Amino acid sequence: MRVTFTVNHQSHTLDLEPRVLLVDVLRDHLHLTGVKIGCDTGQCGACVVLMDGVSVKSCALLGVQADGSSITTIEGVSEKGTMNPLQTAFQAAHAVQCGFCTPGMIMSLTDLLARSAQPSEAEIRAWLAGNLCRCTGYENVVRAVNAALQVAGSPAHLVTETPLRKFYDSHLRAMLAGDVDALVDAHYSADAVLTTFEGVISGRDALKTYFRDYLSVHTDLVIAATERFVEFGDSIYTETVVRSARGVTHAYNAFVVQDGRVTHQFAGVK
Amino acid sequence: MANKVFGKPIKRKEDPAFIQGAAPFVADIHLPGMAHMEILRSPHAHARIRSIDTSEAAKMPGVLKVITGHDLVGRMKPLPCVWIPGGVESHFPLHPQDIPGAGMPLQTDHVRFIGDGVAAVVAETRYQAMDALRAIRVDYEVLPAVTTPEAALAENAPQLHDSVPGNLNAYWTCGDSASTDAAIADAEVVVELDLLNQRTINSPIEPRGALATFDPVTDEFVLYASTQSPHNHRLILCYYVLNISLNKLRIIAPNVGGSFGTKGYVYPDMPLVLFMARELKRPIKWQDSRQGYMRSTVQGRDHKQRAVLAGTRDGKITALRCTSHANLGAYPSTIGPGVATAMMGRSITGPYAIPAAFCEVYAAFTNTVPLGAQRGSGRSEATFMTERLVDLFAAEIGMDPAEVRRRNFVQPGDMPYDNGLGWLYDSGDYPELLERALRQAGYADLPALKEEAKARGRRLGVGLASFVAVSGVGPSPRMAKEGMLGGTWEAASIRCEPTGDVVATIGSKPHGQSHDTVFAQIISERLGVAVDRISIRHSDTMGTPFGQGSYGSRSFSMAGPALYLTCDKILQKACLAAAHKLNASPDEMVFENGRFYVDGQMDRGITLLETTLALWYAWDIPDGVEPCLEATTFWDAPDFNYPSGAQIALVEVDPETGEVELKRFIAVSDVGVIGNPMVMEGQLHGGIVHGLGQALFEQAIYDDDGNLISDTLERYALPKAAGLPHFELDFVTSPTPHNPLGAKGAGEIGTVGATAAVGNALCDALREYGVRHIDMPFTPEKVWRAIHPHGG
Amino acid sequence: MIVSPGAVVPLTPDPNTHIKIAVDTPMKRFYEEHVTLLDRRDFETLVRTHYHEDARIVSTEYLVNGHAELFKHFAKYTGLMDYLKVVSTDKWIESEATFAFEATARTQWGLTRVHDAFWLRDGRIIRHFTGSIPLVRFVR
Ligand code: FES
Ligand code: FES
Repeated sequence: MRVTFTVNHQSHTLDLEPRVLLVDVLRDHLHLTGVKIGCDTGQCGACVVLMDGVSVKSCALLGVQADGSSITTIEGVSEKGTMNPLQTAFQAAHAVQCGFCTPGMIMSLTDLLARSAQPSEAEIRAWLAGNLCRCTGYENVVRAVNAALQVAGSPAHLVTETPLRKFYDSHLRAMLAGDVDALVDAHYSADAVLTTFEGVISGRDALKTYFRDYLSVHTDLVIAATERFVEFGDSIYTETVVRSARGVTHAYNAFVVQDGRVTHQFAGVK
Repeated sequence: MANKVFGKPIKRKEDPAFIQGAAPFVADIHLPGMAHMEILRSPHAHARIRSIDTSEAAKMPGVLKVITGHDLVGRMKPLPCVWIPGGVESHFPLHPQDIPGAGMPLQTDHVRFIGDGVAAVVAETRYQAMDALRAIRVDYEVLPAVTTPEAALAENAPQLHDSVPGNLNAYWTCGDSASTDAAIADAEVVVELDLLNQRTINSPIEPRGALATFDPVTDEFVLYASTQSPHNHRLILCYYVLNISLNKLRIIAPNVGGSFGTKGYVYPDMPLVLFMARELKRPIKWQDSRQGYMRSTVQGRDHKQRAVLAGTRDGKITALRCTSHANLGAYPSTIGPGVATAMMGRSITGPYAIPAAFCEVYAAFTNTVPLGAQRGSGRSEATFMTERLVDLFAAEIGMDPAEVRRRNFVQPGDMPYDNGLGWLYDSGDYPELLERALRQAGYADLPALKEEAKARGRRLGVGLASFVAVSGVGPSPRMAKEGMLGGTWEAASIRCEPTGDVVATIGSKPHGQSHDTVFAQIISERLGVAVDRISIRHSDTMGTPFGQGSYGSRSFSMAGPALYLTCDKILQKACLAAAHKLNASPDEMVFENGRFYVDGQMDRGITLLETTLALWYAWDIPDGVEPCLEATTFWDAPDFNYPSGAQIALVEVDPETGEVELKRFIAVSDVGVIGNPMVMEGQLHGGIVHGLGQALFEQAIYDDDGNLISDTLERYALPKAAGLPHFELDFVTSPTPHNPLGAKGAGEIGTVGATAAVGNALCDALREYGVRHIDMPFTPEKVWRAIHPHGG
Repeated sequence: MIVSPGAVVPLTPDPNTHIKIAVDTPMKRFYEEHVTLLDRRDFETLVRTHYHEDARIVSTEYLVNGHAELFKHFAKYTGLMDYLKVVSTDKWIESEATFAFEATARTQWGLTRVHDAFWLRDGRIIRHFTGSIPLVRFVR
């Protein structure tokens, strides 16, 4: 079965045997081995990833169930070589011993912190019901979460799965799905302005015409890689590698997102 | 030591890789051309194999090779057992090299437990290999099974091994039976207890895996395995199992996701992947599932104890006697029989001076998964038994349990103290540990809290546990007497690089213990080199000295001293070179903050780095001194070390539902000198929760036919984050004289007291219901039944 | 509705000048003034007259928010200016409130393709996106 989904902001189209577990797809096909398998029956939580921002056990899903979704693994919560505040707190609080449960813990807690700005200790512990750790006795894991809350103040700073990033993902998904109405109506304000070097497009109707034209030329569109993603206040700047029937291009895009809709977008290709 | 780095809570160097998901475990290693192996395991606990038909499986898509036990005959030997009950007659499966055997990796005609291997398949993908397993037809003749030692030792019991008459591996004793019996016969008070220290499944979150490569040009193998003893396993695999030269096998143990006593064994999968890699000339990977892990990896505890404690009305314990039946499972695991006997038997007197003590152990084979060590092995079983008895004794004579303990403690002034069963306690202050724990608990105020809980319809109980937990395996000559068929020293090398970096190689191997950081702290403190510039290499038999591995809380107290002494050697050599450079005599040299200087002339000095460089260039070094700065130490401790502790649990029971809530847990520990207090606390947290798991949740359940019912994490409950209190930790420091660091083993002491503290607290809470004892785990059902013996 | 038909403006490379475009539209006038102020290092005027109080610069190298940060940013930027020479402006587009261009520039890292996009409010920059992709990598 052919499925397309985004993992860590990179789109993949794979031909999958329907019985293959998502965790095996991530580990064996995409080599994202930060996702671990501790039980393969849904108890230990070593395999937790975010699917459309929600923590799921990737051993409890089939790969084909991921079609159309956006997945974040431990490899996607921070740039390689850097740690986000939650990760930093894990080190500072000695919340890691053998490290096998750690990626799953981070992913679960990322979801928790996205839902709740100041979870209580009991909430943190209850949330971790699906994450087993045999080394730490959980004490320092709980401490780490509390410490991270002190540092960052807001869960949005804790994790890369921010509202803007989610918005961007959903924008991208609508685009890749070829659903121009959903793309424009749900993501652009009525008087949005898209500035490209082919022209400046303003208003939803013009945008729909523009995207339809674009997609009719760029069939089989895939975002092969997201090389840069910067967000700042209401603004997003991205550099992506785009593959389509027309070939491979490097694209850059800038968005200003206000009240959940793009008001201004700039797009260019190299 | 001046202690600038050592003893400080330094953040772990190893963490970022784990936290970013970048640290590879065996399962994460993917080699070009790799194929996958799966093992077909027996579905019966005891059966004869009439025939095996692999013809269908061999034709399945992607299948490269299918083998049965018959294909191994003459090409592979049985696994060996290297720690046997010491000093007594014992019986084992056979091994052609006259060493105790532990069964072939695949059986040909007789399977003895539900994880016994009968065939192995290699296919292009794991899914294909699993498909092929299902196509193998095995015709079994099911035999009656035995799952408990008593049943196995009964007359006419089914026999597991021809070479083990009556299924008895060994009858092992320690102490003086006659004087103990006499003291019991004469005693004013005698309390008895029958208990089952239930079988548990260690359950590290990473199951095991093995990946082998074979180079047909050089005949060399590489084995990546989740093992805690790569050097030992290399020796065992080469010499005892595969008949290959030691130089032809390199073992790499990448990151290991916890062990708790399960990854120090040679398992059938290891020789099998090596065999398959040679047959197919491709990398072969085997990765266990959780269910596979539970059915085939060693399990822990499983002692059925009958114990008697005798004493006087004024609270003096006069004798202690224990008869235990240890369930070894179907085969001896690599070190299982030694664990089941000495580690338990010699430990039963705990921190008490008991004039007469005796322990006998019947170690028997049954149709269950082989037994191994589990965090706190032996000492935890001994402590639970003795501490429960001490509480029963206190209740019998109407004395406060704390007071009974006070009246019987070995005193600090009695050290070194011979416990009469084979341990020679090195140092410790057992009374102080308990007093501190009592103070922290607010022991005097607890009766009022009990009343308050009762008013809410709940029952509060307080439980004490005092213990000593022998650690730091061990002095090799001593371990030989304990039945260890090999040395138990440890090794370390240090090389000072001309760039100012330091590389230390150790034979010990971490699986969560923080070697990279804590060992760097030792070196940093001694050599004055920043922790960041020190790298600790381990886990690869190529390039590290032979070491025994990490088990029995031994790394810090065995590999640590090896490093410490190696630093001394480095400094001695560097001192000669430095003195030469400074035109001074070596006896005038002072080493401070990474720099040598002439005593009294601070400015006439040379740094360790400059000295290292001078030795590296070797243009001008003293006569008789070799170039470069590098040294190695093989360290064998003069004796074990004996960490100790006192723990207090406060539990609240809901008599309506039988639910047990852990309200507080206090642990005061004496682990001697501490290298990194943050890491130390982490070891205690994890250790305590491991004990709580056994006390409250965990049990490996076999039915009468030997089927393991609790073979997934759905049916085997591990402790979760919810419902645990914050742990209240404190430390008393009595350095051990048995190593230069003064450090004692700390990996297990959290576990050793926890079951007893919770058990005592629970029975205290249920005192008004006349409950004397409940076997672990204290599930709501069992507690409720104890409260309502005649039903609701 | 298309506000202004696309106008791609290829220009002759001139390594000695920053920018040479026919200044025939409001945005081009704004941009020329912008470059002149940068050239003069007159950041005071540049920030006050060309950037909105709530202006943000978004790039992969730096994030700047508001006047206070802008002053600091340009002060730091001075050093870099010495290395920066626009070789050619390769593409240009503008609308009522936006403009964007791509240019080839020589920087301390070598020849680089830079792109900048601006959104103006009340005649001053409210959002400025900038990025670059090196054409010739400086290999050490
Ligand atoms: S591997 Fe998915 S929950 Fe354990
Ligand atoms: S750190 Fe080992 S399982 Fe959590």
